[in-house]
Amino acid sequence: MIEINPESQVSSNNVFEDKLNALVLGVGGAGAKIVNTLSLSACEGLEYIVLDSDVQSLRQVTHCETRQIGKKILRGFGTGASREVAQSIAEAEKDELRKLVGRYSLLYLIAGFGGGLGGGVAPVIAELAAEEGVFVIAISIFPFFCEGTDRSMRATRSQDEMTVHAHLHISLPNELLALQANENANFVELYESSNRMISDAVEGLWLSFFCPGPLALDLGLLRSTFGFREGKCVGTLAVASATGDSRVESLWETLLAHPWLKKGSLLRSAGTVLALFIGKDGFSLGDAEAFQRRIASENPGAKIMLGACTPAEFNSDELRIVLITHPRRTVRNEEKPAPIYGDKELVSLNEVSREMLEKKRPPTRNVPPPPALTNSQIDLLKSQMPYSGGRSKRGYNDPNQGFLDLKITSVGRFDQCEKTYYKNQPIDVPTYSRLGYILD
Amino acid sequence: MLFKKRKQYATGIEIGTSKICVVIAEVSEKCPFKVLGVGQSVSSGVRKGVIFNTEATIAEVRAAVADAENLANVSIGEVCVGITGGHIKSAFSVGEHMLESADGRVTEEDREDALKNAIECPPKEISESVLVLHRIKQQPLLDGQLEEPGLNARGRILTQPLYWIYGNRNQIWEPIKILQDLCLEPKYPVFNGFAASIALMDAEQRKKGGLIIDLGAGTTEFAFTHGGCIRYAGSLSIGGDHVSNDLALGLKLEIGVAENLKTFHGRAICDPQAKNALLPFKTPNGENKSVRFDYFQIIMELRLKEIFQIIRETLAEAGLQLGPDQGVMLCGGGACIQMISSLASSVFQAQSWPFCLNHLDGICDSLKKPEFATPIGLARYCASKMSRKTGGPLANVFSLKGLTGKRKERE
Repeated sequence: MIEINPESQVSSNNVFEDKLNALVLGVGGAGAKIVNTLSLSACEGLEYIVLDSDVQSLRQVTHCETRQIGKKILRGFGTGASREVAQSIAEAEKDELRKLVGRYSLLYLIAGFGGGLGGGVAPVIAELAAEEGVFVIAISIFPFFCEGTDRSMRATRSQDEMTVHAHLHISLPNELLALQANENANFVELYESSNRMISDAVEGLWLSFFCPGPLALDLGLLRSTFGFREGKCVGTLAVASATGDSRVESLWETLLAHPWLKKGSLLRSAGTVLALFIGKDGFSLGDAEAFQRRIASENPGAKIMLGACTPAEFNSDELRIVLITHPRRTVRNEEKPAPIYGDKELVSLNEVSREMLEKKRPPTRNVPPPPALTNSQIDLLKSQMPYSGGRSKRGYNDPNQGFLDLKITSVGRFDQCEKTYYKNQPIDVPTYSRLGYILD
Repeated sequence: MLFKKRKQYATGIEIGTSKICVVIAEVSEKCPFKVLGVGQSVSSGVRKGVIFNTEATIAEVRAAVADAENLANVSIGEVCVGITGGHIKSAFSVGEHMLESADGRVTEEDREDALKNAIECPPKEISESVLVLHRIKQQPLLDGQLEEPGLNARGRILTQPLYWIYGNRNQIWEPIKILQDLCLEPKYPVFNGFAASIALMDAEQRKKGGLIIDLGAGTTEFAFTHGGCIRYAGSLSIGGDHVSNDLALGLKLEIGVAENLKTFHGRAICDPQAKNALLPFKTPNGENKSVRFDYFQIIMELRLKEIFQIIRETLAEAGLQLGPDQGVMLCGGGACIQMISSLASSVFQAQSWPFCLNHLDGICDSLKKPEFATPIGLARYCASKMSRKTGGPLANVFSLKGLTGKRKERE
């Protein structure tokens, strides 16, 4: 457990006059497991609570406080992957939830989306907390591809709702971990590595508010940077540690290869980059400048915020970085560019899912492109057209217009008759038309 | 006696695409064939020779029959109805018979046996779904050579070709049922081209051979005769309506206006002097308009030429071609188009025989028009059947009895 120097309080620019406190709230099954792991390395000032409806899931949480929700309706069972049931339970117990989160200044809301309770209750809690003036940092876990499209679609809807209410919403797709991991890696190993990174991030963010350091990063700055309501987006985070003399370069290489940064692409496309350095002595201004230059070279237009803290328990040699990237501020009605598929740029699961929901039905792929004709071919076809010159209102004289081989011609009074053919020729079609005679 | 003492009345009914025509003729000892009356009505329930609106056709046939009966002042009974449409097809069968007489001479019994063999071996196209209209005896072959007309020829194998004309069973029964509903006795369904050849060709022309083309509104029938019998016959679902349709689409006219212009100004071969000339006309609304006369003639020529070319190609595929002394005779409403005979002559590369019904007695001059050729031929067929001792094909529900037995008058 890390001790916090009581002298290294948050600066007087903090909005809150009371003592700074934070709640790490895990909602649902995934959130419960993550917070249970986080609470093992508990930070001073952080409280850990797990909220779930499933009694079995709550029984497995052994290191922190648990709260059961929806006792009367669900009677100790889960929501059955129903967001609507979870939302209705949250609405029913709104007052209790408001009381739970309202007394904190910072709320880490951790939930796995795609199921029922996490995706349904967490956005409601975020809304209630924001109404109470709590700064909400939401960390949501996006399901694997193999869990099915239904789960992904539910997760996307929950993600959209959370983005509206949380001040800072970080989405961590499990699939990106899977892409980097070994094929034979099992779920336990993946989850453990993910939980470790989340724990480091939560801890690092919290430490930056409490621990003294050369570069201060307070809650007020976070609020002003991420607290706007319009155009909020989903960010991501990455945690890296390095030791040795060239630790800055090592950190940079680790970040560029980080799965949650999509191998650096999210860093390059970010609008805001928050870099929190956690280390003991030895983190110099030169290191900060070097890092800032590297980020600027990758992403010249990004707003870079650097913070640094020096907790007492850290190894003197270790330098840890918690990087939070936030996309560029966009109005919600703007059309996002289509995702690029390929080996070079990995497609975000979130973007794909949203595109899947919003995408219109593509046109048929059986329509061949119009043939490209040379000028001599165009002239030949024009001369063979049955109409020319004065029939311009039909557009037949457009030299750029393609000419289909199949011509649908009216047969006048024989339209409703059984068609007559001679040697596969439709005899009902006027003879002059079939022979290509041009009548002005 | 050849004829019964009391008078008999032979009726031919043609249910065409544009009109329904009924011809009533008297069959008696004094005059084998005398046309008493003709009744006509507009046909609105027939398309391309096939009845699609039975109720309308019944009413129109009733009106035409009533007109004819009023004019002839008789009440008709047995009727010969014309059958046409694109479903009419034809095929050959061959019957062979080994001559049994010791001297190898051909006897009457040999001919009958050869004919029987030809009847009993129908073409593979003859099935349950088709109805046979005619089985026309062709010239028999003796040891592969055409048999001399007289008897007492010698040989080993007598071959009797038989030409079958058949069509879709349902479509043939449709006009018969209509006439039965009108309490008439449709005894003889006859292919229109067959009837036209009966009416138009005299014995000499039939022997010489020639091509009869009936240019109707919805269909065009043709029959190629040679050696006194029909060698090939067929029906195309193309007719004068296609010409009017082409004019309406090409010149942007109403179909009625196109029909009128075709009737009054139609020409089968373009007139070089008509280039850039205008053909004025009045629309039903009373507006004065005009169309390019050369385009008008071009459209007509192309369509009519195409019809003749199709007939020529069909005959060529059957291995038939008009000889130097053979000719083309046109009938039907389309025969009234100017220069149509010249066009047919140029396409078939044969002489064009002018339309003539003078060899038939008992027809007044007003009826000696191309459009009456088929119904007169139907009535004449009916009269020839009634003159025989046995009934026609319909009397025994299309059995084969009518064609076996005594040597019949060559059809």
